[in-house]
Amino acid sequence: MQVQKQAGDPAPQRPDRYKLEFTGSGREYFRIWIVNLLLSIITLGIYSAWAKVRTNQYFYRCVKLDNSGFDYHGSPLAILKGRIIAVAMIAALNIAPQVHLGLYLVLLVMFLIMLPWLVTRSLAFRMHNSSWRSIRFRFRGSVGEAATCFYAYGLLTMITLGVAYPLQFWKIQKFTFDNTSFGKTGFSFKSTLTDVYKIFALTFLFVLILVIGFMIVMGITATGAESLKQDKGQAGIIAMAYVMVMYAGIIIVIYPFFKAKITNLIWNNVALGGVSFTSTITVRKYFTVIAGNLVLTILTLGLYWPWALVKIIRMRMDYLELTAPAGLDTFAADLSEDVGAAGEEITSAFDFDISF
Amino acid sequence: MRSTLTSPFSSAYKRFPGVSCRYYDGQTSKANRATILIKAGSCVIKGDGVSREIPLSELTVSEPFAGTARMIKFKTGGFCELDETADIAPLLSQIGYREPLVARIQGRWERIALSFVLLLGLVAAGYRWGLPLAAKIVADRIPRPVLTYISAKSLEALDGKWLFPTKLSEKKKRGLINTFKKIKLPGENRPQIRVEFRSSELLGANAFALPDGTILFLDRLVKIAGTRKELIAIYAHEAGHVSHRHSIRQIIQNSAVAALMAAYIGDVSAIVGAVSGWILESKYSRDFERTADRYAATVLEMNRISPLALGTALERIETDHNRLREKQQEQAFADYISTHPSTEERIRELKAFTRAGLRRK
Repeated sequence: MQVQKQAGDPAPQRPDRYKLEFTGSGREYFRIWIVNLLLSIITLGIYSAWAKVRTNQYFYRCVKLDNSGFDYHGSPLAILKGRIIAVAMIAALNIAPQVHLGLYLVLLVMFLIMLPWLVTRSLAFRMHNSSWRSIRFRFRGSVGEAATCFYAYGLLTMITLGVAYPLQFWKIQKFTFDNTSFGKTGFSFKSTLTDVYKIFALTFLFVLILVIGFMIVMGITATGAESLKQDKGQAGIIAMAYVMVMYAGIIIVIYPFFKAKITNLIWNNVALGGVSFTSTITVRKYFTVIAGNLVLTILTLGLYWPWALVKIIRMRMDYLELTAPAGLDTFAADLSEDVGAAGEEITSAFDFDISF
Repeated sequence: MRSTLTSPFSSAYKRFPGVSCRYYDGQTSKANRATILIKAGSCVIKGDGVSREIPLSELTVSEPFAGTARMIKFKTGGFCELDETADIAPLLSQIGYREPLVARIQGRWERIALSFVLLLGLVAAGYRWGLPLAAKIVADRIPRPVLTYISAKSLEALDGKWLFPTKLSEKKKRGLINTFKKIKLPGENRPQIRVEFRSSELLGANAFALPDGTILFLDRLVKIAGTRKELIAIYAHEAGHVSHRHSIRQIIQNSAVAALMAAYIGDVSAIVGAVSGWILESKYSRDFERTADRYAATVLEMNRISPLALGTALERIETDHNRLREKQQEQAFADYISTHPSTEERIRELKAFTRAGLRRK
């Protein structure tokens, strides 16, 4: 187990502060991943539901808070059912327009009506099956609220050509956190809309600078080289290369900026009863991890992936801290949904996870 | 108070016999230091303010993962967290716990290595034989109306954008159709073929087979062909695509490859996934071309035409495409991942086929 207090630690930690610790390793996850992949292929994908459960269990259990690991309890059968439904839906939506336009529209409307319900069920499933110290998380968001987030605010985003997107994003975060609880203690999300807008505006500005910068460089090189005019084929390839570099630039530079800033903003404004969170992830750190992961994963034809995933999760945990003045021992379980075997039956029949 | 300064599994805590653990009751988030042992067919947990006895049938043990604590969970709620370094083997054997198969595979590096080799083998075999076979089985079972429907839809999408009405004379068209009708095709799964003509500036000299057996000849191809025999050769090649249902098999194979690549590497980058999928798919396309070439060679021999006519036709098409490209001064980026084997290779194969045919006689 990792020692929390390093010799070079500057100020002594306050007694009410708890760091999250991540004890996972790429080596260990590589083993799990290989066996999961092999069994998933042999069983033509059926095992992938079990694979997902085992992957989640591994990662949850490697995250430790005050020396206790988190745990995941999802049932593989529920996940398999969810996947079958999801695949059937996607297939139906893809085939329907070829068969009959009317049928497609009916299916599409049905799917759109079901989407908020699916999202809330999926979140409820994930939270219900996550625990720490035997206390389960809960999600109780209503379908109506989800529909408002996705459709009312989604429409607003569309009408305003994306200007309202940060508002929608903020609403979705609020909807997610405000309806989540750990046992009987609820989470709350207190960030202001202005702060969210600031991050989105800065990100947009950076994308703009990057795109304009590339266009200028492209323009200079294109006018400079006479030979390109002779060979349009070569020019096409070079233009393609520019687009690739720009795309890579966005992923490697701008994505880490946005992710680091937004992760900090979200966690720094989340509270769980009297517990507050501090996230101090830096853009530089995010950049190093993402760039390294991307390069190594491509160079190894994907084999680096287990190490990459471990690195991302470790980074996110390393920079997250809890402040709990009253300690962490007094959270009470919310047993209202778990009473009796019948309750368990009903939840397992209707709960499924649609996330892949 | 934080408990991190002292080990959570302090060995000093041994007032009760058994393995030291941390017990959680399922009611609150309090970590209770306790000990666990198996006595007379049940599990006994004892600690400060904790005393529980649970039948062995109500226990489940978590899978061993390096870096995580083992858990013994109780059906009625609550669990014990055991230190990773604690010697828990005797306890687990008393419970009668046997590690699941996956855990046994995962536990040893040589088994992981074997799994990895097996995985690579399976993926390679699936790519080489499995997916083409599955696609063939599915394609052979797709009913005719579906093929007709798909073909009509694709032609509808192409007409007016890529393809335009033919400028060939009615007499020329009739003549060609009659020539093609006289061509004998191999008896078994003899395809139903319908020939149509179109013109296209963009596609130049070319011919395509649609899933329902429609073969499209583009004007430019008819124009540059040296002899009727060359057009018959192209017709035979396209009939090969129709006979083996290549277009529908290609659709199935390509969608499967794209979906699998997206699942495997799409998390890292969608573009990397798409490009690698594209490279993998091009092999399938080249394989189909080779099969169609062999089919054409057989058909040509059956009809007493040298299979080399196809070679000549392919050369002519290539020369014409190069000229067109020079004229338009552009090179399609897609050419870098070739969907067809090189014309040189195809002619070599046709020559080999002719020689073998001569020896047979």
